Order: sequence, then C-alpha cells, then structure tokens
Amino acid sequence: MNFLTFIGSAKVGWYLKSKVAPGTRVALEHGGAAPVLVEEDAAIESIIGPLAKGGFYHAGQVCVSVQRVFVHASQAEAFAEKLAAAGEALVVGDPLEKATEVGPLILPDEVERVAQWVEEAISEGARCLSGGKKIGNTCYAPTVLYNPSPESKVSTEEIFGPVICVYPYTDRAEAIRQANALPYHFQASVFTQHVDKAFSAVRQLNALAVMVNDHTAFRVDWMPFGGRDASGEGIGGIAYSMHEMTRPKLMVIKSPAFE
Amino acid sequence: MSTLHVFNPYTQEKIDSIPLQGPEALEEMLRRAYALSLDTTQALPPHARIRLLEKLAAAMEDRVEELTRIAAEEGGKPYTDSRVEVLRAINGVKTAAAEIHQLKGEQVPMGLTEASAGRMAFTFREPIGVVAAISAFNHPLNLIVHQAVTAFAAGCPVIVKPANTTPRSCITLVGMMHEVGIPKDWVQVLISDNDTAERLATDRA
Repeated sequence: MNFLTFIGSAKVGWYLKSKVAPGTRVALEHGGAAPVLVEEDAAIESIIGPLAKGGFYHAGQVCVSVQRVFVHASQAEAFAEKLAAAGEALVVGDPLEKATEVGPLILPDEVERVAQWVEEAISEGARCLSGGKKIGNTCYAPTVLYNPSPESKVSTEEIFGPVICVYPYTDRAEAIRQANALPYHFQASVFTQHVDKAFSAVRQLNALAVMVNDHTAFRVDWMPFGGRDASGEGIGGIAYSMHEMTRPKLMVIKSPAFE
Repeated sequence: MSTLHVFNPYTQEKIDSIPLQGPEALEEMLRRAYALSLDTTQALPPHARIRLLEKLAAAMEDRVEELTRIAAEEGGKPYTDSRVEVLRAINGVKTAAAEIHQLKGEQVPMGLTEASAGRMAFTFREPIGVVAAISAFNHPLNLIVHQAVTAFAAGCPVIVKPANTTPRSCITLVGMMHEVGIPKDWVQVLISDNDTAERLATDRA
C-alpha cells in the first residue's frame, strides 16, 4: 500500500501504523479531549451558546468536541449552571426530525459506556448539573459535570458523548498545564476580551488549531486539520491531504542549450 | 458469505443488509488498483479529473435531501446538522477540483557550480500510488470526501472502507462518482470485517 488514511480511534490507528508495509505513508486522525480556557475577563453570557454547540453537537461524537472547560473560579459556578441550563434546553431525539438538536450515540454500548464514566466521575467527586442519565437505550442527555477529579476518565480520556466538564481555576498557568496534560492534542479554544491573553493562550496551548472566542469544534474543510501527539499524524484538510497523496519527481535535463 | 446489517442508531431498526467482502474480493480490488497505478498510460489527466469532480458536485447538489436522509438515518446526526454536512461535502468536492491547480513543483537551480553546468531541473508532483482509506461513522459522507475524493483528485486509485455502522453514505457517494463517469477501478468500496480492513491497510504488494 502506498498511502493509508485512517480516521478513527487512537488505539486502532497506532496499531495499523505499526503493521503497515515499509514505505507506506500514513495519515492518522484520532480523537482528543479538547480543552477550553475561559479567562477571568470573558463575557460568560456570550460564550454559553458556542460552548453548548461545541460540546453537544452530534452528541459529542466529534474528535474536536468541547470536553474540558477551565473557567476562572470567580465565574466558574455561574458559568457551569448556565451551560447546564443550555444543555437541558436542547431537543434530544429522532435525528430524522428537523427539530432534533441531539441525536443518539452510534451504538447502545456507547450509551452504556458514557453512563458508566459519568457515574464514576460523580462517585469520584464531580457534581452533575444537568443530564447524567440515559434517554431510552440509544440517547444520553446533554450533561455538565462540575469539577470532576483530574483522575476520572472524563478528565483523562476522550468521552465521545454529550458530556462537558467544567473545572474552576485560580492559577492560570496551572489551568494551561492541565489543559495540556493529556497525550491528546487536537484543537483548543480561549475566550477573552484581551488580545494579549488570547495570543498568550494560543502560544501556550498544545494544539494544531486554537480558536479565539469560538468553540473547539470549528472546522472548515480547506483549513489544516489534525491531531498532534497521540491524536494523530499528518495534516488533513482537502488541499493538505491532496499534497500528502502526491510526491515530487525531479527531472534534470542536460543540454548544450543550457550551457 | 456473511452479511453486514445496518441499523438506525435511534430506533435500532434494521435499515439495510449488505454482503461482506472477504480477502479474495479484496485481492481482486487491490489487483485492479495497482494495475491502474502502475500504468501511466491509464492516468486521467488533470483536466479530466477536474471535469469529473465538477460533475460530481453538480450531481450531489441535485440530491441534497436524499444524501441528508441517508446520513442522518444511519449515522444519527440530526437532520439539520446532517444537511450542513452534505453541503460541506459538496463544497469539499469543489475545493478538491480547484486544488488540482495547485499540484505543482518548482525549479531547482542548476549551473551554480561547474559540475551542474548545462542543465535545467524542475520538480513536478506525481500521485503517490494506491490509497487505502479507512473511515469513521461520525461524518459518514464528508469524511469520504476528505479521504477518497481527495485521493482521486490527486490522481490515486483508492479503496475506501467505510465504518460498518455507516456504509450507505459511502456506497451512495462512490456510486455517484461512477455515474458521472469516473471509471470504477479508480474508486472502489470495501465492505468488510476488521481483519480484511487490516489486510487492506497493511498490504505489502
């Protein structure tokens, strides 16, 4: 095989990479546990909508879904409660109905897994502000967890379900350290009114793309897109993939005409 | 031959049954793909690839509603968001056609030393060869554009294996590629179990 493009779980992707033939070029696009840094000055009201969309879009089954939101402690609880209310307001149900905003997870087993992870997080100290329950056997209610343990699965692994975790911080440097602490680095966000804070966060957050004042799941198909470190290899996006799928040929022409 | 059953993830009703292809079918697909890749006389010139992709985009624009329903029904992404995905996929096909303009090389200076005198050199870009594309369920149409339409646009024969939960969007799109005139061996769909998919990814021919 000359080229392998794989989109799916990190476990399968790295396994396949270990097995490909010598010379096979590989592009891997895995998941993440996308972090958001909400600075002390951020206007909370205006960021609830984008973050609810970025975390609950396609029931969180997106590799750049908003998962871990670090909010300055002065606003964290108010923010989390408003985000929970936004999650409660979403219409969950049949994806073929035009009013539906959050559909099912892809398999009933995934609903069970997400339910177990949320229960584990609550038993390890998280406060569940919305959701936290199955809806039938195929859907999971949009869920906001407040301050889960950094050791809980919802803090360390990709949830791939409609669950957003909110972590209060007082030390900005420590929040950035937590944001970068996992092996997954894909897309990240910062919300602030100060350009210098925005630039600083863009510089410090480990991600291929950092959104300023937008959610982490923003994508258009012509921009470079890809995971760093455990989240993948190579750069996706239409033009970038096409470049990867070609290689240079050099022609050297010898002629007295060029003397 | 065993069968892949496709379910609506919301209702858990079976919506389709598709025969699974095994290692023998894969071998034949690989043989066809490598034969195309190695025979430069069969290469489709850029203008032909551009024209075919433009026709594909137009065909997709005529079937937005159908593509939306297929994707939403098998993948579970709500209708409104699935429609956005279909429109993105159409835009992606157009982008791929346009990006063929950018597959280009550069002059490498010669004559800078006596040893390189009397020469002219430049690079151009060639298709890398056969592409194996293994895809995911969460954007069942648009990811096929990202992985298989790009390969065709770059001039590579591609074998695409969709997620087993969401094969119908891929099968429909590749069928449309063939309908607008893309020869079948350039884009082939593999519906298989994980072992056969691993054989595709790790093929050593």
